[in-house]
Amino acid sequence: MKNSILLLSALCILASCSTSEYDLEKSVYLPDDEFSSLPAYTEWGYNTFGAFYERKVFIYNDNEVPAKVIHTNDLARFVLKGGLAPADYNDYYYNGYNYYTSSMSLSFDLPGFHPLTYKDLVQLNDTVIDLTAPGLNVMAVIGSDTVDMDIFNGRLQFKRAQHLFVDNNPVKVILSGYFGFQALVNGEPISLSYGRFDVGIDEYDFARY
Amino acid sequence: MKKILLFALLFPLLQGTFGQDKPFRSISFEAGVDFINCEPPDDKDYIRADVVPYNYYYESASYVMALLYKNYYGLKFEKRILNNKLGVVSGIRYTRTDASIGKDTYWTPRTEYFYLLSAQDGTNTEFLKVKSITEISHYIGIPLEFRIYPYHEHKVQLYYKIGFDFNFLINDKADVVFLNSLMESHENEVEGIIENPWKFYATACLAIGFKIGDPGKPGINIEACVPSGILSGNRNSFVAPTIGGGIQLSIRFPF
Repeated sequence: MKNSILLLSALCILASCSTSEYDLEKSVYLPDDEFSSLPAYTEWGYNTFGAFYERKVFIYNDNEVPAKVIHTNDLARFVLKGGLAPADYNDYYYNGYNYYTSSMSLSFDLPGFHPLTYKDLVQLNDTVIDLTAPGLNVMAVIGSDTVDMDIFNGRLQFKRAQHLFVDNNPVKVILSGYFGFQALVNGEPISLSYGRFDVGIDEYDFARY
Repeated sequence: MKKILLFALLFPLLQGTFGQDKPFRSISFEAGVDFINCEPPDDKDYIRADVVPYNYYYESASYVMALLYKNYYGLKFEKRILNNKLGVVSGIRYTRTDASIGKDTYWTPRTEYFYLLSAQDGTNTEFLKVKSITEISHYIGIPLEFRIYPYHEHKVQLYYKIGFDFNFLINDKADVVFLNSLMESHENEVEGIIENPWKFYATACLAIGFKIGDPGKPGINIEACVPSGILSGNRNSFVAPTIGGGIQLSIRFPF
């Protein structure tokens, strides 16, 4: 009887609530207070990232795995993959849809870092990487074009790296931090600014070969 | 228009003050339930909640939702004044509130869950898969109700009510349903994470009721309370109630 009353009342009161699945793989978008086009900086493994790329927004989408760490040829790379959207897109209608002008990925070399498994990524906790360091490459792929960024100012900061346990089982490493740089592309200075990421890397997002 | 409605409501009361019948008195045993809608619990830093950036009506719902359900039992006395046109009711009331946060499983058997941040220490973060958290609180309170009987006594008599109650916490307990039953050892941990229940709260409601039974004889009262709201004065609470409604049934014994 109690359940029946609860059922009827809940149907009336909660009729406007939506239903959906979400889990740790899904991106959770919380808008930044200052730049609502960008996700807020978080440390929850929300699988989001965003940055201003000149007057556009480089941001995650729901079709691509937002971040991977690839270790090959004795070099580890941190890769963010999403799309390039107009800066004035509508946040909600954009979120989860493909209103990009083009796809985009950004790859940062992590020289001297040799993780054996995804669990080793926690060593990046509180690490700042100077992107102007010799031998450190940052490469973007925009649409089908590969763009070498000749960086003259910028850094990548892993502010926090955490083991994530769910019900006492290790499932991911959460990497959260900031990035931004100025670079020369075809002799012209460009900027990528206010970048932030909060991504979970599990065994499938880590590749070593 | 408002003046006409007010006059229509008050006229029988005013009329009644000029002719004095014997005042009715009664004692009642009451029972009732209220369901109070709550804001989506998307501001909690211990829940990995999914929210959307804008506040459109269909977008504002977090996938994790909150509900407040309360039931109560009490003993009340009613004294009719103003020639039986106004009833003043008070007594004592026990209330149990069930404030719950969970995924939208209130009417489905799906095993959905959310992630609750149970610990964060250096480079380790621990989540628990939780299906629901219910904060069960027990209160003792004093109801204060004003019933307006605008019509003559009949076997079934319509009346209107303005009701309040003032409640004080006597006990509380959290009931956590984990996806993995092996995690039940963390229940006390979760109880320490969530917000404490209100030490005191008051409710206010408007109601339409039916007094059923011959005048001066035992009978029953049925009331529909809409809207019903909660005043807690505490912004940092486990659930943030907005507005709701309920029903109340009482058995009346005149004396």
